[in-house]
Amino acid sequence: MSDTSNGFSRRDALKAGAVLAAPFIARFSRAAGPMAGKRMGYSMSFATIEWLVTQRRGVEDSARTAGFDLVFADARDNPAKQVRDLEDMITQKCDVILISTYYAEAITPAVKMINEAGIPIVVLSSTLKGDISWTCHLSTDTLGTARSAGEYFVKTLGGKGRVVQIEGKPGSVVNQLRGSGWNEVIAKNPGIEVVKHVVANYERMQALRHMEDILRSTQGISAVYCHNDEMALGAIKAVREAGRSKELWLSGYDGIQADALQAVYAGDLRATWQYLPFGAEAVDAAVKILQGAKVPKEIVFPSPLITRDNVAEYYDAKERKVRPFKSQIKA
Amino acid sequence: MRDSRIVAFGLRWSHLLALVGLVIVASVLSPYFLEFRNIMNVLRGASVLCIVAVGMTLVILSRGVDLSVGSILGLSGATFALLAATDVRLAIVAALAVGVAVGLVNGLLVAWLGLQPFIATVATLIAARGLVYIVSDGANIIVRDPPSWFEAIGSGHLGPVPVPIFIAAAVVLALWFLLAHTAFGRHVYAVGANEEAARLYGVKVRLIKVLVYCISGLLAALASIIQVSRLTVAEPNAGQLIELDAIAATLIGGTTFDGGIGGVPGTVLGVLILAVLGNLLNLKGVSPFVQMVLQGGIIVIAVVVSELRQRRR
Repeated sequence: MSDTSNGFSRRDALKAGAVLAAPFIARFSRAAGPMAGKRMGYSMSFATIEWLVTQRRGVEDSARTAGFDLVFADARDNPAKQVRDLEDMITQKCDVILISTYYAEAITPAVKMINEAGIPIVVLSSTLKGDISWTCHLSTDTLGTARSAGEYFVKTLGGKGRVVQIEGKPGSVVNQLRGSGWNEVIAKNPGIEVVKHVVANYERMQALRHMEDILRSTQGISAVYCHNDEMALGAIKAVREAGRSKELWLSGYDGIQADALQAVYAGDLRATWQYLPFGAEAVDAAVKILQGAKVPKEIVFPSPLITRDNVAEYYDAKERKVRPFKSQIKA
Repeated sequence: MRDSRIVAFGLRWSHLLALVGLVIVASVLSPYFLEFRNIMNVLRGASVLCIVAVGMTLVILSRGVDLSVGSILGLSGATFALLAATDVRLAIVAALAVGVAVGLVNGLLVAWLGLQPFIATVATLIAARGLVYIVSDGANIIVRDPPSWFEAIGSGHLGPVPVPIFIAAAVVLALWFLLAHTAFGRHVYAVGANEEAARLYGVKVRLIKVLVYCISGLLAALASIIQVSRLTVAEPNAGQLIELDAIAATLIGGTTFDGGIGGVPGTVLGVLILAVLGNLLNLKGVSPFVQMVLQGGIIVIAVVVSELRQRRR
């Protein structure tokens, strides 16, 4: 994404992605039930954090609507198992395979086999790597969003402050980009210092424990940059218990779960960038591929900033319900 | 001879010395370490592991092992969070019952079917985690608007001291008493030291085995209630790998896999050593990956030391 340097800004990229995606999605929401008799594989490296659960539910619901016979596998955070899962999907003669992975490099051998078998691949979020190919990759402009998160920090802090960074799972491409894009911008602002940097594996409890320790050892923190909302919610708890909510603010990513959006609504979470789970969109892409239609190889979705000002568009505070995701892409 | 007496003293009190040494190092290296709030954070953070590890100690003393504690923690937590919307008291009882039930399965598999504890509890580890994903659909189960007394279990204070510390202390005292001063405790040691001899002595070996797994399950469930109360959410992956930390703490504390040797006080020291080390490294900003390597090293050292201690006897 060095596009920014030659005048093609992130916003343009996002717009392009949205434009590409909008007609494509609108067309597919009408194409219900045509996939009867077709088998779709859906392999995840890890299925049990909120964002991925939302993705899985999206895939399951849409696959049912489309009439797919869905073969689902969760590698339980084990790259070797994901390789076996993918091999099994070839054996089961899947017509299309959706891949969601934290282990782009590790699963390359299996992806090669899928290529050799001529089965189309739809990649969700984290990209694949190595000498392999795929048919369609749905992603958010993670790096661009991370850069704009950096800019949000610079602007909101007035170019000055001490910040803490809480990272997700090492090995996840998305996690790395959320770090590098943000760091890139922060590094250009010498007034902003990253005083602590920890890994909490996208988990709430780990973030809570780390934040407790950080709060003991570090005074005058201005803001906390968390690589997802789960960790932000854990950190918020630690900050509140330490009685330091007035001193600092926090940001997260994903903007899809009710308690995170509730925290934005309540003013506990200053900002989050919504990260579409792609479940329904991926199934739409699979349908289109199997119908022989042309699908863009890369579809980039926008990742809007959610703050207290616009949280109502994403979250119904009265019902405590998250508003449906797909409608936002169409809009 | 004086030298050997010093060595003997060092071996006898090695855990305590290690903890004291670590605390001294920590307070020199970090000015924040000895702050009251930090100490309370460390102890509160350690309380969940402490409760689980004490149960683990009981099982290991009987020459078994309970690898399913993490899954029990997850399953009891999910059970609790699901029922909390109806009645929090009922939810607590149900969560504890689930813990005992999984423990009972472990105990029956080991004592009556004669499965290796490792195999039996790996089976329940997998099955119970599967149940967690089934009941939660792999998602967080949020406890909506819990009564304040419930949140106090995990987040509250009695005076300046967080509630989980009292709960962990009570568990430690109860289990210590049970092991050191009751017939049940003597029987656990006897079964661990020599099952055949214990049987000849009239110890109900099977019953003792079932009971230790039930207690371990109960304690894992208790730990889950503290954790869910603190986060007001039951995470589907909660407790994963805590069995390894619990075993590590037990080994560092001088309880051995050969059964019959060790006890609760050592395990508490083991938990504290791990907690203080983690806290110190966090305060100093040491990478979490380096922390794992150090933790592995400490286990090796601890096991070697307790081996030396055995040999001198």
